[in-house]
Amino acid sequence: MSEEGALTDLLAAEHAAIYGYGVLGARLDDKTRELALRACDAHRSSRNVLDTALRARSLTPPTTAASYDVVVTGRADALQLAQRIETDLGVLWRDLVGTTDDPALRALGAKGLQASAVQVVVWRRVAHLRPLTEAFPGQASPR
Amino acid sequence: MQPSRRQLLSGAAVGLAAACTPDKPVAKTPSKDDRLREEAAIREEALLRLYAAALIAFPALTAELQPLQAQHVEHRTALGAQPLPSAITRADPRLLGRTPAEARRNLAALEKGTADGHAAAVPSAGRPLAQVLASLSACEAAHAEALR
Repeated sequence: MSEEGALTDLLAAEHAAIYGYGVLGARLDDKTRELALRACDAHRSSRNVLDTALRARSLTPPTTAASYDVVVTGRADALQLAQRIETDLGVLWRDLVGTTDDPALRALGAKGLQASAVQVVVWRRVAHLRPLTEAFPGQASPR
Repeated sequence: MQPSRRQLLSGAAVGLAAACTPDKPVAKTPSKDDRLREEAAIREEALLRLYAAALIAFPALTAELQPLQAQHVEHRTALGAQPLPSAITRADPRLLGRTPAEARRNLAALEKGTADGHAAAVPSAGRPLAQVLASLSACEAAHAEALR
């Protein structure tokens, strides 16, 4: 995978994440929805950074789809989706680190992976799941 | 006068640097990655030692701390490092504080500092090691969050 491919995949995933959070937020109580809103804000920032990085490389950034195939029937679903959004993004951030020798992109990847791993803890805590953490965030599960 | 936590931690780090070596004996000049791996292993050892001290001083924290400690053992293995000889396995208890709450705060602070230390090495490592360090950094950040 190239660094451009990794950046493109990340931006597409951030668009989907923002959409997903919008849908799942509606299934949460007010207090928990606050967490979703905060996470969504962070994803909007990441989206902007990735968009800029792609344009700086004279690439056309992918735009957001009109809708995504996301179904959330209740609170448990919502929390599960939130966690999956973050773990999926974590894999892509770690991928980015491995595709590039650009120190700025490496740092961006590490920061993104950190943020997603922290957010996973937040969602697992809300869902009363244990353990809260995993040893190697972003490492794709073996098939 | 009591040594400060900073003095205890830096003294501990020097001791670790002397004692902690990666798995493979270095027959040639260590590469940059070798050096980065060793430094990361030293950071993980410092955490392992503090967890060991916390588990002895505050056994009520066992259920919470043991999974976190176990993940640091996995980190050390991934870096190709061996456990230190059994004589030097736990940190100075003064680094922990006097209560479980203080201990959790001090563990969280060391996790955060270690996350930063690993992250700082990511831009200059070879690609595979950079990915490992990014995961370790993210794990430490997640631990800090878990300990809030």
